[in-house]
Amino acid sequence: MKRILVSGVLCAFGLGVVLAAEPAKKTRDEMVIDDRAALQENAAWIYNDLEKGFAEAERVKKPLMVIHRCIP
Amino acid sequence: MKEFVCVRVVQANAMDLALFQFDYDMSFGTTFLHWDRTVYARYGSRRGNEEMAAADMSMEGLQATMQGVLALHQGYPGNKGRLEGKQPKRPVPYAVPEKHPLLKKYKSKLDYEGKVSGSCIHCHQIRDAERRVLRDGGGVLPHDLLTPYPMPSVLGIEMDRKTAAHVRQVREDSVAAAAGVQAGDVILGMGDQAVVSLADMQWVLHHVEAPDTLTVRVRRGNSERDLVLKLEPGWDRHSDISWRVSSWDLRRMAFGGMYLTSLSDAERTENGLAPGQLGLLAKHVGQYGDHAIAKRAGVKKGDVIVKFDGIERDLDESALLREVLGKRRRGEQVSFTYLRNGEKKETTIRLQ
Repeated sequence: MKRILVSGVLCAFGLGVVLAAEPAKKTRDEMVIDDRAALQENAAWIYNDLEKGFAEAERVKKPLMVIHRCIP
Repeated sequence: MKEFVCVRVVQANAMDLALFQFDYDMSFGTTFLHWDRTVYARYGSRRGNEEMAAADMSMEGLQATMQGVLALHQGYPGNKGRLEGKQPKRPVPYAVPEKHPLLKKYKSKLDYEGKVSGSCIHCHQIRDAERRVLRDGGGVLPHDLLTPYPMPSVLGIEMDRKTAAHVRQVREDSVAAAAGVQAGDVILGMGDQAVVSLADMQWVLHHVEAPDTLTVRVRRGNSERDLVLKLEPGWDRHSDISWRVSSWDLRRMAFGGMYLTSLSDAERTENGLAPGQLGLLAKHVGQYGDHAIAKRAGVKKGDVIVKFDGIERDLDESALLREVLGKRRRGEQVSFTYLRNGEKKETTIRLQ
């Protein structure tokens, strides 16, 4: 039950998308483009913009979590 | 998650190499930082090979590390001393990967209008390029490039991937066992560094220069204690690098493109190998370009290597890679002996 809750909370913020393996049928280009489409408008994430992340962290006084995730 | 500012980066293009230093063979690397760019922790030992991808990580483990990071953030800057060793090593030879001579064809941004995946620098290419320049320049590969970011298992410690840094198992007759590390211990620190993940431990081990002692702070039950690991020269000689994505290029350099695996006891008996004798199965033989050098020398999938460059003692693939690339240079010829259907054959390849 605890695991389900943890996964549920993290997935709700898009981390499930970050960690999950993509279906094998998509081309590598499609996977990269789809990833951007899925997460670029997600309010929980700053997409490919580190400086914006540092500025936001200073503004809200929170630590940064920077994930480098290779897609294809 | 709400307690963090989350940034997702999907390429190594434009990666600040003076800031983001982690095990580049991982296909999921997380760095936790203060906005002043102080590194709190690293997480993400997601291996590049899909079958073992989650062997060292989990959602629960990530969450536990995030809780550890929040504690470090709350204690900052008072705890700066425990973070000093975790900071990136400087200077770096190239500010960003695409400045490297072998990666200059890449741009700082992905080409979303064209072949986007082809415009992406993968993290492992950073290490590949570093090694290749050394080899092409006639050098042997140094230890830290052949044994990067050792896993705690090399100390005899298996970690619980569902925690931040809990010891799941300690191997008998290991460095960790000799120091008194026990299953159930929680690793709180190594050396002078706070530890909240397996990747933090890898970072410490990557920068050890043996011989040395390494103090490990553990919590056992309700008490904390320091245990001292004695790291003799060669302490990491059993570090497994076979799973690493970047090891494919090492196989090209050392083995002419062969991927070698250790034989089972039954296979050793079947091939008539004496105890302690080298016996590595050619599980895959490269088919194209410089990865096909062994193929062109006559080797086929299923052959068993029993002598390589004069080495006949039993080694696994990782150890043989280190032996060859740590001593031999590009262009040198090495001969090796293999078995095929019980028949002994010899051939020669030129190292890359």
